[in-house]
Amino acid sequence: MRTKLNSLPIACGIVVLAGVYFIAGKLGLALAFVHPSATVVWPCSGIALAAFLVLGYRVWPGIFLGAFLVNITTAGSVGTSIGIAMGNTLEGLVGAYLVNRVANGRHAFERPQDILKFAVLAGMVSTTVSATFGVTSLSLGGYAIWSDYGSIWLTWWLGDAAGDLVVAPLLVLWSANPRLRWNREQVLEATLLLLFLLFISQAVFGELSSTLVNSYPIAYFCVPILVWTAFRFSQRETATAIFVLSGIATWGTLLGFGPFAGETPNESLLFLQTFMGSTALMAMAFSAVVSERKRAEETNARLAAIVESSNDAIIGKTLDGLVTSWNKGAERIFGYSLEEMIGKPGSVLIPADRHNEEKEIIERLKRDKRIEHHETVRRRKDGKEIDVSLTISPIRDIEGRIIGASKIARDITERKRVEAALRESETRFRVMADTAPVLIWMSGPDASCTFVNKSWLKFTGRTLEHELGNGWFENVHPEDRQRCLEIHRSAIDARKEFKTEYRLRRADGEYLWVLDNGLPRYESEGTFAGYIGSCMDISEDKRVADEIRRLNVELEQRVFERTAQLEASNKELESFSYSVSHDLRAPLRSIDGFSLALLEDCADKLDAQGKDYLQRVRDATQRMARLIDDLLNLARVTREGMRRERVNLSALARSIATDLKKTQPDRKVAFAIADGVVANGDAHLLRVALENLLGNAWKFTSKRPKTRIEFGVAKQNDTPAYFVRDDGAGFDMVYAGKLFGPFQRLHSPQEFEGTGIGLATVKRVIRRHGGRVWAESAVGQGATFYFTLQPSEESWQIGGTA
Amino acid sequence: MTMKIILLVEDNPDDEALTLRALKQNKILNEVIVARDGAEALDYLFATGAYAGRDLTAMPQLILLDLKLPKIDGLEVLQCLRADPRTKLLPVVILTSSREDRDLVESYRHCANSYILKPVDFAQFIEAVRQLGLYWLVLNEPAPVPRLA
Repeated sequence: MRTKLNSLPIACGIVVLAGVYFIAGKLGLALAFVHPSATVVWPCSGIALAAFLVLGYRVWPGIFLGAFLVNITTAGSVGTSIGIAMGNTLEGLVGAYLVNRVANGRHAFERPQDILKFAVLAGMVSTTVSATFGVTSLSLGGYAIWSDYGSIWLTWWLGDAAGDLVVAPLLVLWSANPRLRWNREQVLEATLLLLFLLFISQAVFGELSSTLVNSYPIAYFCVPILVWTAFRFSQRETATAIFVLSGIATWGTLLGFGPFAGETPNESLLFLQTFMGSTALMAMAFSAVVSERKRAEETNARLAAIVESSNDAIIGKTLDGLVTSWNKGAERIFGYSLEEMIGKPGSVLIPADRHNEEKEIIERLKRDKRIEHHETVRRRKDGKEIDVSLTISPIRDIEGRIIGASKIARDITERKRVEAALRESETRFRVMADTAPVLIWMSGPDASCTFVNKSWLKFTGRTLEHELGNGWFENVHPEDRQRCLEIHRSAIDARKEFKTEYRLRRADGEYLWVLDNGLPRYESEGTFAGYIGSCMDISEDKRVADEIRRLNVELEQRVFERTAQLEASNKELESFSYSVSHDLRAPLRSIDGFSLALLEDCADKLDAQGKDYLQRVRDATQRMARLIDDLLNLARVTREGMRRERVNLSALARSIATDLKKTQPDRKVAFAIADGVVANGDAHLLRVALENLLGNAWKFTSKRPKTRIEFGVAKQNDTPAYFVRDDGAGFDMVYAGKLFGPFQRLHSPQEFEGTGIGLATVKRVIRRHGGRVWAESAVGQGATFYFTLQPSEESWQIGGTA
Repeated sequence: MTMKIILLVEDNPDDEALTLRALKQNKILNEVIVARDGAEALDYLFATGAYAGRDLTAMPQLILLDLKLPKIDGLEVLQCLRADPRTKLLPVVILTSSREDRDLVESYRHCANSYILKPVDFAQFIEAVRQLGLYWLVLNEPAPVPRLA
C-alpha cells in the first residue's frame, strides 16, 4: 500500500485522475457506435483498475467524478450518469480487489498464472459490473431500448475488458518502473522493433494492408513481433507494444482496413478487441514466462557462484552414487578435479571400512531424511584420510521424486585436531586435579563454583551437584563464613590472589582447618574467567602450632619455677660459700698460729723432729687455705652473673703475664702474645680463665731454664679458637679426659704444686660462654690449651635468660 | 696522756689470743678492750649494759671489727657507729677472714676505714697487725672526740 498522503496531494491526484479519465473517456466514446455511451474502445476501465492497484482504493472519487463528467456530457440524465459512474467505479474497485486478493496485485504481470487470473478476474468478471450498471442505467433512463440491451451490454463489456487487458498492464508496469535502463544495443534493437511494429501494424491494419495484403486474415503477423518484444525485453515493453499495436489496429480498422474490417464499425472493433485481448493475454503471459526464466537463470547463476566460492565441498549425486556436480571446494578438499569426478561413483571418497555407512545414508535419504553435520572420515585422492562433517539432503525433480542427493562436506580435520588437543588437555587437567591430594576448586566470573575435584568430594562426602554454585559454602564453619566471604569478595573485586584459612566440614562432620589459596584465571583473550584455587589441610599444622604454644607456656612456667629454684639454691650456695670463707679459715689460722707460737715460744723444748712436725702442720694448713680459696673461686665462677662485652684478650693476657713475671722475676720466660685478639665475653670470668691457663703454663715450664709461653687465636671450623701454648712438662694425652675435672691432677704436689681446681674453673668459665676447651700435648713436649667462646650471642640470650 | 685504747670485737677466742699475741709481738702495748659479740661492743661504745657509767670521753683510738659475730653482726655494729654522732668519726678497721666481695662492698658502703683479710699464715698475720698498728696508732691522726652537751 502507498504511504499515507496528505489530503491536498490526494485531492489534486483525484482531480488529475478525473481529468485523465474524462479525456480518455471522451476519446473512447468518440468511437461509440451502438450507443453514444457504449464503446468497444474504453481505455478508462484500464485507467481505473491501474489507479486502484497503484494508488489504492481511496482514489475512487476521481474515477467516479471522471466517469460522471464523461457521461453527463455525452447522453442521458444526471441519474443515468450517476448510475454509469457508479458502475465504472465499482468495476475498478471489484477488479482491483480481486486482483489484490488472488492475482498478486500490482505484481500480477510477473508470473503467467497471475496474468491468467488477472485476465479472468479483472478482464472478464469485474467488467460485467460496469456493463450491467451502465446498460441498466441507460435503459431505465430511457436512453436505450431494452431490446438492444444484449448488444449494448456485450459492446460495453468487451470495451471494458479490452481496456483492462491493454491499458491497465501498461500503466501498472510503467508506474512500477518508469525508468529506461537500456544500453546502446538495446536502444538500437528497441528502435528496430518499433519500426517493425509500425510497419507490420500498418501492413496488417493500416492503409498499406489494402494494397499489400488485400484484407486477408493475416493478423497473426503481429504475433512474432510481440514474441520478439517479450523475448528480448520485459513485460513493460511488451505491454507498450500491445498498446501501440492496439492503437494502430483500432485506427486502421475504423478506417476500414485490415482483416477485422467488417459490416459495421462496431462489429469490426468487437472482433478486433477480441483479437487484441487474447493477443495481449498471450504476449503478456509469454513475457512473464521469459522474465521468470531470466530471473531463474540469474538465481541459478548466483547460486552457482555461491557454490563455486564455497570453501565446503558441495557435491551432487544420483541415487546410484554417481557424481553430478563437483565444486571448487570439493576439488580442494578431496584433490580430485571436476573432470575426474563427474559421472564417476562418489564411493572413491569413502574409506574401505565405511562403505556400509554410505548405504545407510542413501537408505535414509530415500526415506526423505535429511542428514545434518554427520561427522565421518573420507579419503582424499592422495590417500590421506580426513575428518569431514557431512550435510546431505535429497534432490527432487519437479514432481517431488527423489532423484539424487546434494552433499555438503566440510573439512574438519583441523577442528578435530584442536578438539582432540582440547580434550586431551581437559583430560589431563581432570586427571591431575582428581589425583591431586589437595582440594581443588574453580569458580566462574560471578564467583560461583564451577568445579571441585574428587579429593574435595571425598573430603566433604557430598556430590558435585551439592557443591556447585554456592553449595560449597555450606561446608564452611558458620563462625568462619563471614570472614571467608569478605576475603573472597574483596579479592574477586580486585582480581587478586588471596590466601585465607577457615574450617571446612569433613564427611564425618568434623571441621578441619584448611588454607585456601585462590588465583584469578583469564581466558586466552584476557577476559576474567574466575578463580582457580586449592585448599590444603592445615589442621595438623594448626594442632602442632597450638601444641607448641601450649608447650611454650608450660616451658616458660617451668623456666620460671626453675629460675626461682635456682635463685634459692644460689642463695644457699652463697651463704655456704660465706661460711666456708669465714669459718673454715678460722681453725686453719688457729692451727697455724699456735704452731708458730709453739715454734717460737717453746723452741727450747722441741727437738729437730718436733720442729719438723710442726712445720709440716703449718705447710698442710697453707695448702688447705689455698684449696679453700680455689674452691671458692670455682664456686664464684659458676655463681656470678655474666655480662658480655668486647674484651681485649691480648691486653688481658699481657697484664697477667706482667703479674706472673713479678712473682718470679728471675725466670727467663718469653711471652709471645698476639696483638688485637678480642672476644665477646665476660671480662672478669675471662680474666679468671686466662689467669689459670697462663698460670699453669708458667708453673709447668718452671723446670726449664728458658721457656716460651704463647697466646693467640686459631680458626677452628670458622670459630675462633684461642690458645695458650707452652713448651713445658706437657702431659700424656691418655689422661686428657681427666684434665678438666675438679681435684684432678696429673702431677704430684712435689713435682708441681696445685689444687686441681684451676682447669675445672677454666672449663666452667668457657662453658658458661657456650664454648669448648681442650688440650693437646705430649709428655715433655709442652701443652696447648684451646678454648672457644661460641655459640653466638643470640643462643646465649635464649639459654642465659635464667 | 691517756693510753690509746684499741677495741677488738672478736668472738673466736683463738683469734683473740692470736691477735693479742700479734699485737704484743709488735710491741703495741695499748690497752685492748675485747668485746666478744656485737652487742657487747655497742654496750661499751655507748656505755650501756655492762659498761653503763663508763666515761664516754674515752673513746677507742681504733676499732678492730670482725664481721661474723654472734647477736649483732659486724656490719650492723658499723652501721650503728656511723649513725651516732659520738662514734661517727671513729676509725674502724674490718678484720675478717671473709673474702666475699659483698662483704667488702658493704663494709666500705658503711664507711669502714679499712678492710684487712686475716691470712691463714700466722707470720703474715703478724706482719699485717704490725703495719696496721703502725699506721692507725702512730701515723694516723684521729679526729677529736666530739664534745657532747
